[in-house]
Amino acid sequence: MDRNLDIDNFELLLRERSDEFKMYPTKRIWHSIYNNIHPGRKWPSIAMSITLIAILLLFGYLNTNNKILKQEAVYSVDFARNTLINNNFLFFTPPSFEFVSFDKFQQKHLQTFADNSTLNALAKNSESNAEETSKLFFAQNIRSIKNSAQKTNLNTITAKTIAEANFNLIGNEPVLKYSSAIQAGIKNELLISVKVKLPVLYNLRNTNTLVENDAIVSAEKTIAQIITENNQLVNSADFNNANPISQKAEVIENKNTLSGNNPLTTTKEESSITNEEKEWIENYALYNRAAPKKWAGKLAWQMYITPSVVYRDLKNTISTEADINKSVIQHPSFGLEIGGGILYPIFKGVKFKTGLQLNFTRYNTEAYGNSHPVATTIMLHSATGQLFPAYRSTPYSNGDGITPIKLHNETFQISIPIGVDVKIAGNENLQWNIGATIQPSYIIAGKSYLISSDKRNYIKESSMLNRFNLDAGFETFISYKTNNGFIFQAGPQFRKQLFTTNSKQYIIEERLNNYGFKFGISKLIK
Amino acid sequence: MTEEIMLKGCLENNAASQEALYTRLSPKMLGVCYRFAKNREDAEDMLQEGFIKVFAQIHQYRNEGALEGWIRRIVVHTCINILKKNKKFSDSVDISYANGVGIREENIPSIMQAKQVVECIRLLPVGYRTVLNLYAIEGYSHKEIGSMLDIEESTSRSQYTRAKVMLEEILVKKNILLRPRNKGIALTGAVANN
Repeated sequence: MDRNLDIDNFELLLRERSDEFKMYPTKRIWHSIYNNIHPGRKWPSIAMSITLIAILLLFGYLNTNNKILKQEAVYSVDFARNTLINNNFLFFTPPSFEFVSFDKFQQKHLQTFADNSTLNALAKNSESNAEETSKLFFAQNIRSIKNSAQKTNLNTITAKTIAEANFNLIGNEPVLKYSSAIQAGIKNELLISVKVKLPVLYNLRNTNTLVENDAIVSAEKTIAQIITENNQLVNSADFNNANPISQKAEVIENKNTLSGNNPLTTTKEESSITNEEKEWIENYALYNRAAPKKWAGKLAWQMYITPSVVYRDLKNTISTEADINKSVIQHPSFGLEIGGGILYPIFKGVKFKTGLQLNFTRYNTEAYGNSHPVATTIMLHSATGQLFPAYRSTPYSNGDGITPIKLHNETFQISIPIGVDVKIAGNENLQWNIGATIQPSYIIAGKSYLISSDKRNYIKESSMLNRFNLDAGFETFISYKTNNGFIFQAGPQFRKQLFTTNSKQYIIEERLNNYGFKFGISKLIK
Repeated sequence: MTEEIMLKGCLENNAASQEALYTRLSPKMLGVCYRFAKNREDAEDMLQEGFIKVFAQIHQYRNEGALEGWIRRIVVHTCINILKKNKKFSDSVDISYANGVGIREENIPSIMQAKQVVECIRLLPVGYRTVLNLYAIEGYSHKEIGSMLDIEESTSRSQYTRAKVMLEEILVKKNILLRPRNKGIALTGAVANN
């Protein structure tokens, strides 16, 4: 039944109908309004984030604070070793070392040097710095040897005793890595209070007795001369190159392996070294140094896995009237990224990275399956840029149908990520980094369900998938280096597909967004 | 939560009250914005800016009239300000566009929904649409509209007249209205039964 409406009521009609019209805004709008009218309330979340990161950094630092001791121990091992070699009476090989924490060390040596008030006082002062500790302990060792020599039979004072006194330190890397820090360490007479675990000592001189006697004397002389001699060594050494004395030591060690398992019981003939032999050793060391590999100690391999959630953005390239994203019911699904590659430092705190990775992406479309296909069209661009409808048949409909069905839009990709990681904060062991990559990708396989031009149907058209695409990856992560050199990393990652999933012929562009969490492991290649 | 409590909370910058007010009025206000905007995204931007102004100026509300009306005026002015940044409302539109709209003579029943009316309004050119929204729906006078849009009062009148003609044609074409007969227009049967 029709109802005549006076023209004057036209405005009333519009007003009534318009007032009935409601739209429900997205949550984002309220969050934006809230953040705008309560700017101060953003700070709690920022403060919480900063606090969390600070706690992580602090936790990492507290768990790795023996790092300095460890580094300095390396310098000191070599320092003392060089000294002994210069005096030509013994050297040691460090077959295995045990890192002893500073606290444990203090406990142990407090017992040994219980009568030493200085050390006791020092040990009680937990905030004393390593340098001062080292200096004092260095002096303490000298006294210890002297006392031992006076109080005990000289025959019981072996080279091992002296070595332990000298090498109350530890190092898993006897090869000295010269740097300004080493210079400073040596010049500052740093002797780190950590312990060598059963060093094998090689007697380069004569018999045990002689060695022991000599050792005491030599050791005292050595210790007394350490600073002077070593300063000369430091001043004359080329710190950009490997230490020739260390090399010489290795050669000597090789030669002395002839002396058997117990080098302290070697015979005079076996252990004596002539000037000619020394010269030969030096020359051998000089001309047979291993050529350093430029990448050694820098290049690292990396493996990672990133579970993710895959979202998509749809854009109608010919019409902006209706948001295509709201014309379809599609839900994010899971994705996965597995890859491996290499990392190489190019600047301080910046690492270049590349590799190979496999990506799987999926999002789901809620549709209906029909018992028989229906005819429909998809709008395509022709080669000349004009639009034309391409006719298809499909059993999948959007919005109404017989059986609800979930369509999986999937891709399997292989990519070559190329990018950088940048260190933001942290120390050698615990770091906060950000990274970015550009990822040329090849789509190995996939399924694509296109929406018809009337938005009522979906058409499976995997042949429309672009074979090549380009993605960009952004990530931030916390990395932690373990004592055995492995670096574990974890952090969020965002991967954005830069070009449309399907051919440009298709009027609707689709771009995938992956929000994932990356877990990785890496290690230096030596 | 009553309007009084919400208002009191908003005056105290209470987030819960602000959210309650927003939740209650945002659907209708977004509908208002949508009639002015080019698309939903623009409408949401207008809504966002409008509510930020509402909460910033809520202390200026004098209880002289409904709170919803006061908020609606702020939202409408926000829409106009945003549109003014991008569009000159004095631009006229060729009336031939309206004349070109085909008219269906037969009476085809159609369900008239508010959304359909709004979508038809949004088919109008922006200048016409804005004047029509302000005059016919929001109830502003042509003098006020001229002042708001920086156009002459007469321009507002003429634009409204043309907008109305064009909208009638569109509504008829969409089977929402029957062709005007004599002095009146007729809604289709389904609408009349609503």
